[in-house]
Amino acid sequence: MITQAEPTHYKPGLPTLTIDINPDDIESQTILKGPAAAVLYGSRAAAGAVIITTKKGSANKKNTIELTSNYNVTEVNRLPSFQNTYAQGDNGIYNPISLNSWGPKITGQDSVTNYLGKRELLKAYPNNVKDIFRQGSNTQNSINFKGGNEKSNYIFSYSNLREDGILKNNTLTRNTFKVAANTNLTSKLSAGASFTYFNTISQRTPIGNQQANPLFRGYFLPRSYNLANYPYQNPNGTQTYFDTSTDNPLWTIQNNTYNDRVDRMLANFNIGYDLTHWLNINYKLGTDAYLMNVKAVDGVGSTGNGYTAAGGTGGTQDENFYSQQTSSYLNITAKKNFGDFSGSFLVGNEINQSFSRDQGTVGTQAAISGFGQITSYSTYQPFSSISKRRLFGVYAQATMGYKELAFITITGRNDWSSTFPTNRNSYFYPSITGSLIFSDIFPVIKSGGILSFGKLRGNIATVGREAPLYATDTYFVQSNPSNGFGPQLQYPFRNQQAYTLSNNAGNPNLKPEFTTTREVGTELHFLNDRLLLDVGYFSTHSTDIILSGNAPVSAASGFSNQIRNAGELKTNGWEVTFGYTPIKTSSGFSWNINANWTHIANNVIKIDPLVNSIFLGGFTVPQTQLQAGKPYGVIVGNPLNRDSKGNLLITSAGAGAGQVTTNTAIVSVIGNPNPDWTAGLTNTLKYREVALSFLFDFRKGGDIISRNIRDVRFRGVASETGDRDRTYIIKGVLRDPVNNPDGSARALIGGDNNPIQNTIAINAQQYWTSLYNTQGESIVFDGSWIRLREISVSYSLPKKWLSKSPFGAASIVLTGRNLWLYAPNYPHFDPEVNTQGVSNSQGFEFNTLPQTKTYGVVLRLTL
Amino acid sequence: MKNKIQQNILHWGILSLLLVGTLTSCSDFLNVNTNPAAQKNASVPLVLTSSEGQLAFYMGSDFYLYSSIFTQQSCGQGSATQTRFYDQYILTNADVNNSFTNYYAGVLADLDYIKKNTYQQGNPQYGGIAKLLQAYTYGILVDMWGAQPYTNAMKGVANPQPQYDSSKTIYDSLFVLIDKGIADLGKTNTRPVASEDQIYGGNISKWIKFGNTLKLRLALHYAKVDAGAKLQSVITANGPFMASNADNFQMTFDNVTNRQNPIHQFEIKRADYDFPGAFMVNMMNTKNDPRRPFYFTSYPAGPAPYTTGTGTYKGAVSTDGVSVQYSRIHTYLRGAVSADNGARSGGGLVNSALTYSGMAPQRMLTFAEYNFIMAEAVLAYSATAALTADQYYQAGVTASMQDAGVLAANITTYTAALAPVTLQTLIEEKYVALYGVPVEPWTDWRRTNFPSIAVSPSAALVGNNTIPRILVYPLSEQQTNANNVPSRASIFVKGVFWDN
Repeated sequence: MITQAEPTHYKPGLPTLTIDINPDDIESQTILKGPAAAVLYGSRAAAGAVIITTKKGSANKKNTIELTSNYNVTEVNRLPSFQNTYAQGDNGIYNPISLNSWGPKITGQDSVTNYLGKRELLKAYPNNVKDIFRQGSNTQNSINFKGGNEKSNYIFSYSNLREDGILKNNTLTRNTFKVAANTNLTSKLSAGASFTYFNTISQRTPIGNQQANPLFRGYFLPRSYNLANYPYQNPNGTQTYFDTSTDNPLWTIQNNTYNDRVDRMLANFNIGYDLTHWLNINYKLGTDAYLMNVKAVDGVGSTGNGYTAAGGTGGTQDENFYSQQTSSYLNITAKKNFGDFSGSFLVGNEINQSFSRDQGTVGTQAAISGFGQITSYSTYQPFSSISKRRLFGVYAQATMGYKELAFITITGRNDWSSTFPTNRNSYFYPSITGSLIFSDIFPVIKSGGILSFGKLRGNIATVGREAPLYATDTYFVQSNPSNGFGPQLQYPFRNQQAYTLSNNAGNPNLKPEFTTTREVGTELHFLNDRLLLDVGYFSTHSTDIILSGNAPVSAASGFSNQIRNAGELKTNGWEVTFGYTPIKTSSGFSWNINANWTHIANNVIKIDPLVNSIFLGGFTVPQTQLQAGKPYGVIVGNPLNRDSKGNLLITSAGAGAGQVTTNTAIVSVIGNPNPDWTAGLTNTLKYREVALSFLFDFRKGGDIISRNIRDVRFRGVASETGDRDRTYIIKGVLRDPVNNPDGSARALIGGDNNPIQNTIAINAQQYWTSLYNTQGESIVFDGSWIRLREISVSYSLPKKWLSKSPFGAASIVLTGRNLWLYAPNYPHFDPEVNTQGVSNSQGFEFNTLPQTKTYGVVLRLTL
Repeated sequence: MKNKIQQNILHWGILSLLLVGTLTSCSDFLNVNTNPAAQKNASVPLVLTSSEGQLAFYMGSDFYLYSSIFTQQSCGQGSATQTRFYDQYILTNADVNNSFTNYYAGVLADLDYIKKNTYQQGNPQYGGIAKLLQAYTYGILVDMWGAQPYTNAMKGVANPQPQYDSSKTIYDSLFVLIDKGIADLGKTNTRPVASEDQIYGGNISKWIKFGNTLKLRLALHYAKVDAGAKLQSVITANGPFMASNADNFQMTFDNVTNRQNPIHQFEIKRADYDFPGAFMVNMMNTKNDPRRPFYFTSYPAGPAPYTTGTGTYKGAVSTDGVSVQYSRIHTYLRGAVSADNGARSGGGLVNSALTYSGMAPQRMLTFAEYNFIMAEAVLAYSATAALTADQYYQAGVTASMQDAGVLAANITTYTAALAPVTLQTLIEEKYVALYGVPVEPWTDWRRTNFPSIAVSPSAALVGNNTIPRILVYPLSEQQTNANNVPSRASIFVKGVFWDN
């Protein structure tokens, strides 16, 4: 699978089609890897596509009713292991407003003054972080009616989903209605239509790198802080918390709210006509439109920038976001057999348009605290944007087959995209695919009795990808200077409007990005299909990569970025699937093993000659980057000061003696987030109507920058930081107080002309705070894991029991997900968390919601 | 059979027409790649407003924090906060990315656009203002970083990797640029500069005074290498220079969310990150400085409603544990107080106790500074000028106190007690007077070693035993302009020509 960035014009964070679809309405799901999907789905499928076929009524089936009910409980799967011996404070002294737990040993001191100014008994609260969360759940009920006769079929379905998240006030309700019908109007003319309406209402809590996130500093609550029993708000509704620059987690969950409502409609219409028995013409028109209403409220007194950057004055954002994707497909298909040979030929046209409009108002300075109605503020800032993108494509596909044993398919597609200048908006991409069941062509292979089936496959496919919207011109935009701490200057300001030249330069020379995939594979069955082996090797080569963000240029040019064709990427990998049925008895017992193993090497061959690295994600440091000759998305950060031999340099004198220092003038590669390999192992045991299945997931390697692990160690809350009755010596050599002439650090040389080993003993607080003070190389961790991804037990009522009942089928499934995790080099948190979301940049973990484990039950009844 | 063939021909005909029809209208259909919500061109006045707003806002952002913390006017508080890192002299190449981008791709790119578009429109005065603002901005960038892209900067994507010019070369050019700007201001505009100029409201004579005073500031820095020759020639040319606080180069802010003074906004959005530094507060305590009730809240604060408090003041030391038991930044940098909700923590004010207007100006070059420059020119470089060093010195203190709102009688008492000026007392008074002016106090310390600050104790704790003298070059330049950006090992080396 190629990792490609989401096109930037897809608004992040919006529900995608696959998320909205009622899982009980999915008939089949096909993952098309790489550009092979591209001829029919165009460059939007350059990174592959998930093709979901929803359920249809089927011809000549009796009318049935299917009922499904699903209930799951969700819980946080992993929280840090805490020390509960030392109290809030620093240097062994209790301080009720410190963020740290380097305070005194808790020995039952009966009178310390807490942050409220009240006297209390000093105690540890082992569950104070756990108290931020609750047990969540989700319930989904679905019903569908379907049926058909020889000419027509229909389906009607309804489902209801209700989710309660692991944070209070985090809920989601979704209702989905669908009707679909197909009919043959005449023997040659068929028509069909389907219509789906989704209504989703959700409520959430602010997340992300800002102080209104309840987990911004929530994972390292001081061990002696009584979160559950201290008040979180004052009588007037404002918050109370020991840390004045962060929102109280319980208060923010209660008062900073995000509500949205999405009304979504999917409508499709298709008509087909058989011109002759070998020639068919088919036309499809579909639209996917949704309107999202958002109301996001920042409570009065919130310290974070939240949704409205209200600076504590209270704010509301009211937003309407409308998005519509319309596609039209015209396909003409010819099919004919010539003896043992079959042939088919398709020509088609796609027209696609995406349109979105975002309008809203931000009100700040609340006149009425706790109200949140947009009309109740003193200051308003409106915003508005519109985007439109169009694509026109023509394509052809020719397939030749021999006896269902050998196939060869050739495709070609030409797209014209509105994202390029009109005089150079055309681009072509071809593919060729072949397969051969050699075991049937040369039956002698099977005669040995070992190999029962053998197939070879291969393909070469290229796909062109369009550019982000509006990247060909340079614009002036409304001025809005801001700094990294939250302050900003909005216009109109003192009754003046202001426009600034955008920092992003347009590029009238943008070209499409092309990715070529080559793939060979074989599928082998042994021992009468009891043993299956599928081995595939693929390589991809992407040229003229258009980055999801922009490619940087020196800001001294007047621009800081330009969208450019900025690199070349090569990927290759192996995918091996293995299936084995060790036991299959006539009494109905079977044991099936399915395993897969994937190794992918992602290498950046070259990047834009104008830069030596390109930012992908993360913070300014550490960040993930593209660097020529390095794996994709390497982690880069400030290194610790070392001598020329790579020894850590330890401060030799003064108050900081015995500790490390960071080189803040340069950055270097400090990690590779790409795993060496990933694997899955499923075991399925069946006995008649009972089945037990469990899936283990493996990941080997893949570095992760963990701000969270850094925080729990630096703050003195992690269990290992509780070992304080001893001293620590950091392995390294002493640093010369005098630097090299160029200002760089060097080792102190002893009498034997060698660097002097560090022997300076420091205490636990100095040790952990020194190593984790800055966020560089010491916070890179190996993200390897083994986890029990899923376990399920299912039972279907025997048919003979049901024969006298109105039910056609009935089953019950018990499931558990993510119940067990082993991550030997990644303490305290689940390494699967990815702060970057669904993007290209991996390897960061910072104050996100924790992963969950779930337990559930599914009931299925067919009438 | 014939019918069937005819039918097929008809089908194919319609189909081809459909395809051809769509293809011919294709180029119009696809011509939708212009953003309807943004402008391809903007009028010069709109861009002038933007450049002034950006300059004032960015000056009051990171550069203010760096220079006020390094010189111990302020002290970072909290644990592992960015301000505490600055106090530890941990300021990375990545930290300074935003500033470099904001000044070049923000302020200077807008000014460059004004210069390129205003002359043919018959409005040379906009060009004059743009040149003075460019000179101010480049002067600041050189003082912070040393060598910078100048001659080859602002060429757009035609030169995405601008070469660097030495800090002295840029300074030499800036004097010429200011003269050209002042000449442009002497011409007439078809469209007079008006309220879009949010610094001087279109008052051209104030711009000219600013231009001449800026030359003085740069010439004072330059005096370290030319023994004051340039400084004397600027003084001899006789301005006009700033003549009162009404001429201050500063941006006024508004009492509206996200339109308030950036230093004030920082106090709100990063509560308890930054307190007045003990070094400066103690210096003012020793002299019983009457600006303290305007600069700082008193500690202990006293009960609500807060008016002038208890009259004692306490600054923070960088090794203190997390605490709010200090004076806080007050009206001089935050604007008037409208309410006191009474929230106290021990003797300290809770950060949200007082409600400020946020309308304090962002000061960037003041009349007080003009007087201190003149005093130093006479005192240290024996310049010939209208007044004596002591007279300028006293005028500087007086201007600063008047700007802060000190009563005339208290000003007289204070200035009457001042001993004859020395370079140390001059810079110490300038250091207090330039509270809230970004960068210059750090420049003064680097030029003169005054005031006599010691290494921040929290820096010593993490092994940093010298005071920073320059910024490291931004990571973004190392990534995009590696062939040109000079190497710099740390913030502890000397990096600008006047720091010798």
